[in-house]
Amino acid sequence: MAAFGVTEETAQRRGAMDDNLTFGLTLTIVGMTGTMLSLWVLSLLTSALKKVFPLTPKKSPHGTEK
Amino acid sequence: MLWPSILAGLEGLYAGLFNFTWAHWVMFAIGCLLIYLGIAKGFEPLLLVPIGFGAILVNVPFSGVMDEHGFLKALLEAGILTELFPLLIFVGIGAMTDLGPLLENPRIFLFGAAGQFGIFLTLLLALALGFSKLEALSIGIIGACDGPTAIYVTTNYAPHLLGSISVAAYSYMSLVPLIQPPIMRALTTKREKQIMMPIVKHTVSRTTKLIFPIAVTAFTAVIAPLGASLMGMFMLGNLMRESGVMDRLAKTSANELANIVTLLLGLTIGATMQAEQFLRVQTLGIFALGFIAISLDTVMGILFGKLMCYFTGGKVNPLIGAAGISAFPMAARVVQNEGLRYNKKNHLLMHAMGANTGGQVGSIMAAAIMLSIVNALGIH
Repeated sequence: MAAFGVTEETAQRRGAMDDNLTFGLTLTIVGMTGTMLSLWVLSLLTSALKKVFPLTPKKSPHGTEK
Repeated sequence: MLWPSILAGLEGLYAGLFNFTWAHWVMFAIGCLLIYLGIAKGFEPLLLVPIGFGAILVNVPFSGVMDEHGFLKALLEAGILTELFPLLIFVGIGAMTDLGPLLENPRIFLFGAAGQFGIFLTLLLALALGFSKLEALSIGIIGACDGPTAIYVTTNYAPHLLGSISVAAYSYMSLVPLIQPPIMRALTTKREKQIMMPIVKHTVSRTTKLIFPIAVTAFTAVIAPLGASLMGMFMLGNLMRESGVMDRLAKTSANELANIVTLLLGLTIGATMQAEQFLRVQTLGIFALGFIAISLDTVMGILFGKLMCYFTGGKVNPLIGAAGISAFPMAARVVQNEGLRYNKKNHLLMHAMGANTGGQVGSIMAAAIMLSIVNALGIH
């Protein structure tokens, strides 16, 4: 017996909707933030790799740089 | 005694015909349409043709292809339900992909993240339309614009929707050149479209190219372990390509392996399109949501591009945001064409390629993160 004239079926449906909304918003917020942060970290990692292992110019057999 | 025997024998010839229902004929028409789109229109023919053919085969009454010992059932169980085919395809994609343009300008990675936002927004829409949580999750992943990822996630969470989600994912991927340009034109000003970006210089060392795939796999394994296999296979393919000492394996992965698995994958997806499962109102909803997902990806990518343009003082052309999806290299080509349309000297291709490969990594990362969140929430 639900309060304020709301039937149990309606209450259950609302509960499921709330549950779905919580799930959807959780996944959206955590997912979008997580994806953005992960790729940002990967961009930092790539920049760090480029600094640690820079492209060195190849030397020709005669000793002059190409 | 001979006459009844002949009649019984003849019955075997027309039994199939009399067991055809309207639903089978509709599925035949859909199968033929996919084959037509693949061959006549050139829309992802490598996949749409086997999918269409598989859809025809599986809807022939008494064909037995999906019975217990049917060959398509065997392929489904061995290659899709075990997630083997999508993972093998990823080795091939990794071996085909040059991450160079992305590594040259690492901040472009962020476009690959913005291009995935459609996944999450579509998930919300699907939930609002009454799909279950795991169905909504699988529908949202169409927005990854990445067939193998969509198949991988759907197999895990909503295998009964595999046919419709796969067909939607591959169809919309092939329609990227038609879907994206109107959105790109609507959301950017003429001045933004004409922004020229500098020529991409080659500044990445071989060591960086070798360490990168290993580092990304390790990072994914730590952040979202459930997606480590997806990212790992993609990066393994790329490592083989960049190593320079595994040409045979890299070429085989990019060609023979990818081709064989694509054929088997297409046929098997077609086999999941049985009339009773495919011909539902739900399928129309999935196709509509798939379209919204890819459109939202483009919208979010462009808006993020505008943000980058603002913060860099007009040095980034917002159009390249549209390439932050996984449809490679189509999305990058669309950006190049749109750039040239407004400025004949504006070659955005290499920047767009960078965003596009960022989108490939981003789509896998987004899927991996989704899998991990769902697992943490204890939803099965």
